[in-house]
Amino acid sequence: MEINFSPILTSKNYGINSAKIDDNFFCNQISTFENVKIENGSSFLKKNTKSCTFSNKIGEFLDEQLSKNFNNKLDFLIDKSSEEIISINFDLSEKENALVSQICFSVKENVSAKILIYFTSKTSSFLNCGIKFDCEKSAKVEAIVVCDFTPDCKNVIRFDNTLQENSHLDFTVVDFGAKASIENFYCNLNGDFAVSNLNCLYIGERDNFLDLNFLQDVKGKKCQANIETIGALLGQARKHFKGTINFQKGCKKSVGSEEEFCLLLSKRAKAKALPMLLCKEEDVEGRHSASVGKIDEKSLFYIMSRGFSYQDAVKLVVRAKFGQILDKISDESLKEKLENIIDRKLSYEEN
Amino acid sequence: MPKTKVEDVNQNFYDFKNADNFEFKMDKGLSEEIVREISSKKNEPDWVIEIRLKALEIYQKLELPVWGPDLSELNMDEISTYVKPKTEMKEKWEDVPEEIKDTFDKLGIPKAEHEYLAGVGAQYDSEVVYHSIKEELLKQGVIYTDIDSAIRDYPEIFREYFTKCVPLSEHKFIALHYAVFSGGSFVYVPKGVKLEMPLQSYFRLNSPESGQFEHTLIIVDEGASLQFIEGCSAPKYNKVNLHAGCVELFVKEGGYLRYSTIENWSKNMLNLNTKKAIVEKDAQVDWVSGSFGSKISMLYPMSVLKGENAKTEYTGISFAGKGQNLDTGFKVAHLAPNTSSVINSRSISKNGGIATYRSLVSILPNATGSKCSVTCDGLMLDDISRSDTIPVNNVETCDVEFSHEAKVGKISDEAIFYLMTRGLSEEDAKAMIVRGFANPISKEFPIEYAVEMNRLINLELEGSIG
Repeated sequence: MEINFSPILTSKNYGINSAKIDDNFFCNQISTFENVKIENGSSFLKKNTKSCTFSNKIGEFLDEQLSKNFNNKLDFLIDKSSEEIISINFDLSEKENALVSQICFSVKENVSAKILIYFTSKTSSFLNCGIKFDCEKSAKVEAIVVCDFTPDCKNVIRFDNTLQENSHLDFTVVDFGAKASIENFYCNLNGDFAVSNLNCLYIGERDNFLDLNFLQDVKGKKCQANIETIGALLGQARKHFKGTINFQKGCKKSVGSEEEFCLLLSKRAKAKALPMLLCKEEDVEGRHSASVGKIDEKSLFYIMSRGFSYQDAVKLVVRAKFGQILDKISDESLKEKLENIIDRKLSYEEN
Repeated sequence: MPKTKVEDVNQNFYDFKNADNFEFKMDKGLSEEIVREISSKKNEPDWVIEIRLKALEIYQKLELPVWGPDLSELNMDEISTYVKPKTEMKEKWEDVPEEIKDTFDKLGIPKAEHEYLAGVGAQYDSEVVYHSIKEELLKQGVIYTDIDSAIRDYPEIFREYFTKCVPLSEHKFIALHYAVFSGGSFVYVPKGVKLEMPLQSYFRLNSPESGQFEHTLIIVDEGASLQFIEGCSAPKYNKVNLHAGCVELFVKEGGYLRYSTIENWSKNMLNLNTKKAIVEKDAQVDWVSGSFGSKISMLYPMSVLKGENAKTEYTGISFAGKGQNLDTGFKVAHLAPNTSSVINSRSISKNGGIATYRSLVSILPNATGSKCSVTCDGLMLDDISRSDTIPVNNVETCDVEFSHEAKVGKISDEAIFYLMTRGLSEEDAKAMIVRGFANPISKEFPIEYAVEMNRLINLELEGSIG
C-alpha cells in the first residue's frame, strides 16, 4: 500500500512519490490510553471531544482512524504568554501500545508559547498522531517533538500548522527512527510576514525506514519559510526525504530555503531525496541545497591522531553536525538527554 | 521598478512552411496494419518488423504518465506517423528537390557543412533526404548514414546495438517510437579515430498533423572521439504535431562524445523525446542542450556510467514563453567505482510559460568513490509564469560525494542597482543580467551555434515598458 504522497508527483520508477508499507502496518485494536503526563499546561487545556480536522492527508485508513477512532485528544487554548515549557509526555507500554491522538493548539494574538511533546516506547507499538498549531496574529511558538521509539515500532505523525500575520513558528522534530516512521509536515503561511522554521534531526538504524514529507506553503507577502534536515543512517536503514517549498502567486518578497544533509555511516544504508522548489511568484528568493556522503576522512584522522578511538571520533563528528539543530534547543536537560540517545545509537554494534 | 519587456523566442525565422507535398502520407492513427505498412515501404528484414510489432503491443498496454505536463490533447487517431517526401536520399546537395533544398538553405545547413562540419544529415518529415560525409573520414572507417541504409548495409553492428541502450518498454512513448520509427542517423567512429569537426543532423517536420520518430544510434569505439550536433524545427500549425525520437549512444573505453542539441520545434509540437548514453570505462559523454520551442516538452537525457572512471557533464538551458510547458532535465546512473557527473541547468520562464527542471541522480552500491554535483537555477521574468525544480537524488553507498544546489527567483534588484550605479540604464542592466544568466550554457555550444542560440533567445530588452 502507498501512503504519504509527495505534493507533486514525479516518475514512479524513481520510487519516492510515496511510502510503500505492508498491510500489517496498521493497528486496528485501539483500546484506551491513559499514560500521558502534562506539565505546565493543564490551565490551557479545554474540554473538547469534537474531532479536529487535519488538512494534510496521509492515507485513507490512517486519516479515518485519526479522525474517528482516536483514543487520546488534547486541546489547548493558549491565551497567555509563558516562559515555562508546556511538556506533554506519552509513554507507550506493553499494556498501552497503540496511541491514536489529536493534539491541537490554538495560540492567541501576541502570545508566546514553548511546547515539548515527547513520545517514548520501550516495546513494539503503534502511533497515529496529528499535531495542529493555529497561530493567530503575532503569536510566537517554539515546538519540539521527539519520537524515541524502539526499532520495531511503527509511527505516523502529521503536523498541520496555520500561521497568520506576523506569527512565528520554530518547529524542531527529532526522530530516532522506527521500523517505519512516517512524518508529514504542512505549514500554511497565510499571513504576511509569517515565519516558519522547520528543523528536523533523525537517526535511522538497523532496518529502519523513515519517510519525511515536509511542505511549506507560502501564501503571505514577505514570509520566511525554511526547512533544515540533518540526519545519519546506520545499518540497513532507508530514508526518503520529500521537502517542498511552494511559493504561491502573490507571496511577494518572500524567501525560502531548504537544506538537507545526510550522513551515511554504513555501506548498506540508502538515502533518497526529492527536494522541491515550486514557484508561481516572480518576486521571491528560493534556495535549496543537499549533500550526502560519508564522514570526512581528514576530520576523522585528525581526531584519532589526538588519541580518540574510531568510534569516539565518529561520535564527535556526528555530534558536531547535529549540533546545528540541537543547539537551537534551549532546554539543556532535554538537549543532554537527546545527545545521550544519539551516542547510544552510534555505539550499537550491529549498526 | 517598471517591468522590462523580454521578447519571446523569435520563431519567425523557422516558421516558414512549404506546401504539404509528399510521395506518401500514412493514414492517421496507429494500428498493426499501419506499422506493417511502414516496414513494408522500407523493405525491412523480419527482425525489424518483429521489434515494431512487439513495441506496438507494449505501447497499447502502457498508460500515460500520471506525472508531468498534461498530455490529454495527444490523440494518435489524429496523427499521421509516416510521411515520405518526394525524393530518395541524395548524396549531392544539388540533387535534392528545389523546395526541400530551399528549406535547409534558409536554415543555413549547406553553409554550415561547407564551413565547419565534417558531415551533414538532413531529414524532411519522415525520411532523410541528404547525407554526406568528408572523404577522409570515410577512409578512416567512419560510418555516417541514415538508419534505413544502416539496417541494409551494416546489419550486424546495427542489430548488435539497436534497442540495447533504450529498451522498448522504458516508457509509453519509446514503445510508440519503436513501433513507427523512421529516419535518423547511424554513426560509427572506429577505435582511436578522433573527429576534429562535428557531424550534424537536422530534422525538419513540415507536414501538418504528423509525427516525427527518427532514431539516432551512435557508437564511439575505444579511444575515439566525436562531436555530434542535432537541430530540429518545424513551422507552426493549428493542430498538434508529435515528436517522439530516440537517441542511443554507446561510448566505449576511453572514448569521448559531445552531443549538442538546439531544439526549436514550433509551439504546436509535443516533444516527447528519449536520449540515453552508455558510458564505458574511462569514457566521457557531455550533453549540451538548448530547449526553446514546442508546446510541451518532456525531455530528460540520461547517462549510464557503466565503467569505472566514466564521466558525464550536462549543460542545459530552457526558455519557456507563452503557452509553453517545458519539463526538462537530466538523469544519471552511477554504476561503477570512481564515476563522476556534473549537472548544470538553467531555465527562464516568462509570459505565462512553465519551466520545470526534473532530474534523477542515482548512485548505486558499486559506485564507490563517485562524485556528483548538481546546480539548477530558475529565473522568472514575470508573475504569471512558473518555475519548478523537482530533483530526485538516490544514494546507495556511503563512499560518495554528492551535492545539489538550486535557486529560483527574479532578477536581483541589487544587481540591477549595482550596474545602474556604473552608468548602465535599467534596461541595459537587465539585458546584461539575463544574457549573463544564459551565458554559461551558450558558451558550451560551438561558436556558430552559440550565435544561433543567442539569436534564438533574442533577449532584446525593449526599454522600460510598464
